[in-house]
Amino acid sequence: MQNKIFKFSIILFSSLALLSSYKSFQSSGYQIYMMWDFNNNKFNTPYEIYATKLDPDYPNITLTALPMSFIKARYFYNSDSLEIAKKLLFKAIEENPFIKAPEAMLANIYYDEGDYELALKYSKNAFKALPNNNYHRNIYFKTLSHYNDSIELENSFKIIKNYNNASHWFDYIIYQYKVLKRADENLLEVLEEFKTKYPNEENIENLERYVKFGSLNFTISSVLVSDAEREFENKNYQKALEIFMLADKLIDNPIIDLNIALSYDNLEDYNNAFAYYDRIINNQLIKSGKPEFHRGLLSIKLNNRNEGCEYLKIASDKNFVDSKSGLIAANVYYQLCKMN
Amino acid sequence: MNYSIYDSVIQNGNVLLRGNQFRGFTGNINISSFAIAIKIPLVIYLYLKTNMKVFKFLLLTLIFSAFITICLLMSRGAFLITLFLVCLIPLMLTLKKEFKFLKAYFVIPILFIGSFYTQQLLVKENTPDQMLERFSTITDSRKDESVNERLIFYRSALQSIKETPILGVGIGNWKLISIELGKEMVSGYRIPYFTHNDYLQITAEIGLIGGILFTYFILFPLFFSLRKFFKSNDNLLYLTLTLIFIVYGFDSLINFPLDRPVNVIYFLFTITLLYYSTKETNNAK
Repeated sequence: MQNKIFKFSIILFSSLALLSSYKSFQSSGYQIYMMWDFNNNKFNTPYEIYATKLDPDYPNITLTALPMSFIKARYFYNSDSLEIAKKLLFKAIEENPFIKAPEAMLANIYYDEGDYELALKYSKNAFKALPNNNYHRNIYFKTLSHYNDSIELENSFKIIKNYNNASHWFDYIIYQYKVLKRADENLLEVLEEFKTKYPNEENIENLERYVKFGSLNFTISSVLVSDAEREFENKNYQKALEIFMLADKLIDNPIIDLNIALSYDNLEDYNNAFAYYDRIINNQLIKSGKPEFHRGLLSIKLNNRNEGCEYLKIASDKNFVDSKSGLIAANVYYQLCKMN
Repeated sequence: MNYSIYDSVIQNGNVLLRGNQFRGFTGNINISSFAIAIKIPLVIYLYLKTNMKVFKFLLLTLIFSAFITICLLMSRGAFLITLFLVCLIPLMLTLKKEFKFLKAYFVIPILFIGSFYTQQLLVKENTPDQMLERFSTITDSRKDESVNERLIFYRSALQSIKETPILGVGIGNWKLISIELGKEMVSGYRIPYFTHNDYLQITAEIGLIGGILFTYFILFPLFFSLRKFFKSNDNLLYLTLTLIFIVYGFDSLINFPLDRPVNVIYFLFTITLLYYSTKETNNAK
């Protein structure tokens, strides 16, 4: 009798273990797609999988500890099924109360719905628990900026500023600027600190212009530059020049100055082209070597070979490569100045 | 692995950086390194036991290849434990006066030193100081992120054990609890899934009693085979088993082999071998 009970127990536990393993295995298969979507901010997994085939209750968290219901809720949020998404997110909070991803998503939903009080409640909860998270920080700062709470913004930024994440600085400066509607001394100090800490950050100069010249001027000039570049591409250099000039009046941007120089260059107004090139070069406003490259080519074109070669050498030393034409400054310098 | 490194560095002129492209069939290069290190004692055992010269030569080649792989993958833990094994074996053989084996063994340390210099030769054009750099920061947690992370994990685990010493946080729950305990180092949703110390993680998850039993499960075979080594006639087999348990025990101290089948299966097979060899020895008596 004892032997039979023992055998029965073994079979029972083995079957349960097998069932558990099978369910985990099946879930892992679906998780591959859904986690790929999550990591790449995509929504490619078919409805059939996330809505019907996937069992979010066993296992109820992913291999990376995110609640299954949260992963599922992403798709419903994306397709505007907000009530289903919210229901899933409340369940997700119970499944893993520590990760705070469901709270952050709930905050986003409430923010979109205009329920700022709940947005603040959930975003604060997510940010305070896991501050070094772009998603948590963004929705919390966004909500704080809605409430014009510059003090809490500043205090929250102090918590995250020492993490090695430039996005924290970008978000803080943008949202604090939105609240203050101007760049005060503190914000300019933060901006300077940001520039010192992340000297190679790509968009830092644009952020500086955004803060210094105002969001309206920055946005209008961005649109104008984009239009002017299109005209330039279509070889309407006169039109391009006019639009670049308009943008130049709104904000001080050496890239716009360079585009003006290039437009003059193409319009064969060489005196003005030289004036703009020289202003950029003498003040070292662009360090890539692009102004020296075009200045050098223009000088050679006008038969001033020695001067042209000097500029091309500088561009070559700066390893300049023209992304549009693919021309390498070093090769151009070698062919035009070293050969013959 | 050696070929893929040769192909990348020598053939294609790439800089040798520690990366998962050389991980082989495992999850990362640390697991690969320890999976190789744990097998070295068995190959040395075969080398010392066999009388066939061709077989001896092939085994030496295999040992050399294993040493080079460990050096090239630059896993500090695996390198240190291999160095420890290389030094410990002659000591143990001397203690048991196994001079025949000791004589045959002298070539192994030469191979180890040779593999280290081969690694230096392979990377001299690009990253010659990488190995030394990695060792220079091993005791400085401020400079070494990997050491710093591990210290935070250990502290979190100890804190968790202190809070729930009897029952623990529940099996499999470490990856949930660790989020709160290590929140200052969580970036995005990348959380500390493992403590990088199986003893601490198991204790944190199932309490002190469970932790002690788990430690016993790892250490008992180690001490048992060590005892057998000193008491039985088949010294070399028990020495090999002891060394394998040492590698696994050390791996558990700084990594999480319990979660890696490639290591656990080998460990379980070794326990089985210990069990059967003990049974055989008892039967022979």
